[in-house]
Amino acid sequence: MEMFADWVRGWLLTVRTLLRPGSAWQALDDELRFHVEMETDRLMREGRSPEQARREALIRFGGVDRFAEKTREARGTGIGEDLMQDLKYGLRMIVKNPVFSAVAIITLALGIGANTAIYTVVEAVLLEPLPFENPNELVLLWTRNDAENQDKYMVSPMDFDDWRTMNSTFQSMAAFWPTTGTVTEVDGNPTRVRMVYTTEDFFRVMGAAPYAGRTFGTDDGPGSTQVVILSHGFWQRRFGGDPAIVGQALTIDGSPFEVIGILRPEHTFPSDADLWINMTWSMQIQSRLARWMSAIGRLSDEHGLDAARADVVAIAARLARENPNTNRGWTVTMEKLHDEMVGDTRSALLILLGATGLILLIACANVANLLLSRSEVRAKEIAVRVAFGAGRGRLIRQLITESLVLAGAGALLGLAAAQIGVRMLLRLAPVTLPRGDTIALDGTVLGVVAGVSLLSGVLFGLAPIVRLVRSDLHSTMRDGSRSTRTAGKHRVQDIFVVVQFAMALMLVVGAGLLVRSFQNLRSVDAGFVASEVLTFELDVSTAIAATHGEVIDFYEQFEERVAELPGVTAVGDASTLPLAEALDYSLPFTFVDREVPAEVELRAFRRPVSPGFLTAMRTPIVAGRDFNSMDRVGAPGVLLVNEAFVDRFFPNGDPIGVKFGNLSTQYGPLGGIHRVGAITESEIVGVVKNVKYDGLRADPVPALYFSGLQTSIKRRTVAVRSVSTSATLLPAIRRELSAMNPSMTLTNIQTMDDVMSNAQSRDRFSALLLTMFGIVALLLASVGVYGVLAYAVEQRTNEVGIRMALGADRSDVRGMVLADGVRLVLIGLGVGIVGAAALSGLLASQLFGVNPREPFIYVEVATILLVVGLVASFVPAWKATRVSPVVAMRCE
Amino acid sequence: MGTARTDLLQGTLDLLILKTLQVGEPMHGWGVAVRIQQVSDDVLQLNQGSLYPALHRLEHKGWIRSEWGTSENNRRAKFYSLTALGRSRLADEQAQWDLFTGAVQRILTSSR
Repeated sequence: MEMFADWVRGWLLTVRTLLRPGSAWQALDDELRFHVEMETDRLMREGRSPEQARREALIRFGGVDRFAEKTREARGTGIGEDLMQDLKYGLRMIVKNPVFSAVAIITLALGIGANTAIYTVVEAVLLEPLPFENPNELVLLWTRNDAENQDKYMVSPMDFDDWRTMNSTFQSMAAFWPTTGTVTEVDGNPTRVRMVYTTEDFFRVMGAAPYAGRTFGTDDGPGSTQVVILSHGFWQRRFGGDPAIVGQALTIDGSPFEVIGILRPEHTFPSDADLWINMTWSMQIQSRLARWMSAIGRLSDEHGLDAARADVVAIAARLARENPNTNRGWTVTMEKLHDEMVGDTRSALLILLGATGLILLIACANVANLLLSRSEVRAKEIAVRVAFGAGRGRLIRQLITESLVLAGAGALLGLAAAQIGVRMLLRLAPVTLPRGDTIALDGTVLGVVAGVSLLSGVLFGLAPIVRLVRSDLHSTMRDGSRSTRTAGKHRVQDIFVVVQFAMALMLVVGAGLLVRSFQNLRSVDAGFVASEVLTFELDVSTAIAATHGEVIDFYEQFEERVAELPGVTAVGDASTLPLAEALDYSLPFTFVDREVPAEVELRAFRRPVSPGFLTAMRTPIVAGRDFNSMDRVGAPGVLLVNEAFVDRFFPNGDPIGVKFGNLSTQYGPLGGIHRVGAITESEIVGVVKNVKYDGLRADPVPALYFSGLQTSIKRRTVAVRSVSTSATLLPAIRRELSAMNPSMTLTNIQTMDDVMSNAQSRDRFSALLLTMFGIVALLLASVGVYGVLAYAVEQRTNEVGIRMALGADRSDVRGMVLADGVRLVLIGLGVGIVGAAALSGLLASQLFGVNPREPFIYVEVATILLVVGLVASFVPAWKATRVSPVVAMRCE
Repeated sequence: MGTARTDLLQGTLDLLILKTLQVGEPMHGWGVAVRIQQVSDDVLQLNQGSLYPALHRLEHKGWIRSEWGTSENNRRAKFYSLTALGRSRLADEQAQWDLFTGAVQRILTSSR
């Protein structure tokens, strides 16, 4: 026990010496000075003169120079001078070992850059609080119907009103309805804007103060005049930040609105809104079926989310009991605003964060490994310098300076990489990345990451000194690079290589899974052919077409004109574009003379499409016929249903000819009537292939298609298929539109390829990023194994020489070195496979059609890594065979 | 090898320092140097500069420990003494040495 304490004390001494080299060297200096003085005294007693005695004492001590250097150091002078010298020396070491330096610097830069960029985005998205008062109290509310597979659905004004008045867990509750409108400029030019209708207490619920003017007050409720509040961004863009706009009028959809206020720049909810307008209609309008509003509430202080959920769910249950025809099966779901805004992004970002964490570990391991390998070489150099009289404090300072120069260069490069990285992330990011535009590089994050990297660099950079303090100077000098006693050190480096390969494998497996998932997603049949289709939105305002007939005529005539344009092969319109994140309405229906079991709820999505739309989209008709120009007002009502509809409601029968009751529905205060009133019965005339609307991953849902010529929807998306993408097509379409009505404008112009690409963007983003990380990890890991083997070969030059002198074949030597590398790589891959299998469950939510433990991908990835490991091992192995036995022996 | 200053065999210095300190009294570096010289009847002339790296190395290994004190001429000096670990190592080292010198001795005697 006592002996153990002695051993521990020795180690503590080492640590103390390293931590406070100054005082340790001061003490040594005192000790040495004492020695020389004692020796001088003794020599004087023997009869030498003081000068002679001192000179002789110094000579006996073993070198005047050495003593001189130590005394100079102990006096503490020349520190600045030393620093300059160290910096120069550090830079020289970097230049002299370009490969080592480049690898170390790039490794650090990658580690620092990738981590800072990712963490900055993660922090901004996940961790930054929302710019509202007590944002944690804000909760979004939706309706939900499990039988209908509807979650987070809209709420009707009547239901919302009941929630608001009957609940006991919310301080306040507001409803809002995001839509679009047209602002007419002074010169008559129309601009499409995103506007949000809100109940008058919306801004009080949000706790958002105005930037200028005021927000809605209690006087702006039902029955009052509609007024408008501008977003800060819109105010800047449209009015150049002129505060005089408050109090003036703005023409929206043809009518003047007074501007009463401007919001703060950070208020971006609902996202990208330009204008807010107060709802001045009563909540007791329409049917409970008319679900089109969104709701947000602020929790009371004493109530949590669970209590609030129980409260409103009970209210919804009561409404369902009292109004079975409209509310049966409908309940409430709610989520904190922050969680909803962050949404699915959370798991994707956390996975990225984990991935960069692995990269940072690999990078640190690499730098440590490089420095440790170098420390073997440096130990000899340092021992020689000590022998020539360099003080250890001085050496420690120098090594730290060197490490810092190296790490500093890496950090600088990393900073640049981080800046590029954040910009790249935001550009690659799916458009849904919340609050993406407010993200800037985070200094704290950069500091922490850079600090970790620097620290690891400095710590391992000091390895030669640790060895020197604890080992025998003379043996270090004599053994030089030949020794075999460094086996323990190798073990550390071997472990680093194993860990690197394990982590690289985990990353690359993750990348492989995501890439496979993305491929699956790309090969999903969306139910249409995206290429060569141009789409845009039109909104026919009341000023242009007052009646249902006029709306229908407008679209028909416009589409006829577009169809005449050169290269155009088909034109059609739809109220909802597939995959375009547009609102897709699910509503009840009735059969005229068909008995349905009570448990089957008759409900389907309603998708009005004009006769040319399915042709333009190349969505196949699988039975019956498509709409044609005869399916118009005055003709019998016609419907198409999709395959999912047939599967659900006609599992054994033919749907063609089946009749539906009246499907006319009004939804939204500004939305049109769904069907033209005269049609009370409609007949199924055909079956359409399933088309993906709500994302590529979603399963098909039953849907009904109306003829666009029997629908009076005012806002529609027009799809134009042409023989080839042509730059002249869009201007030509614009000319046709302005020929019909110069005040109208095309908005939301995008090709179906864009729409597809957006629908895949999140998966592409994850797959791309993780692939990049995987490649980086692979590169770093192969540098790691290369470094360790190259160093080992250098160390074993002698052994190799003897073996070859004794007649070993070159291939034997090569095999020996290769076997070392392959052994490490294989162990790493084994560990990695276990780790990847354990962690891959985390990816499951991101995957589409791939088993997270898909063995084929694991084998594939392991093979790739093994090949990379082999290549990285082969170079040192090949070098080993070029050792000339004579040279090797002489190295002794 | 007719020089008066016999080069110390690698590792021998450690043994000599440990042995010198075994006497019991804490000693400063100069004292250790002088003692080794005296006891060896000036056969072993230390390169005094190499004494200190050895002392520090042994201290870092925990075989000896040091303490600041006052020297016989009232100066501040660092005094070294043997630890329990050092005592045990000394026994080992000495056994090794005996084994080694014994072997050499036997070879030398037999070849005569």
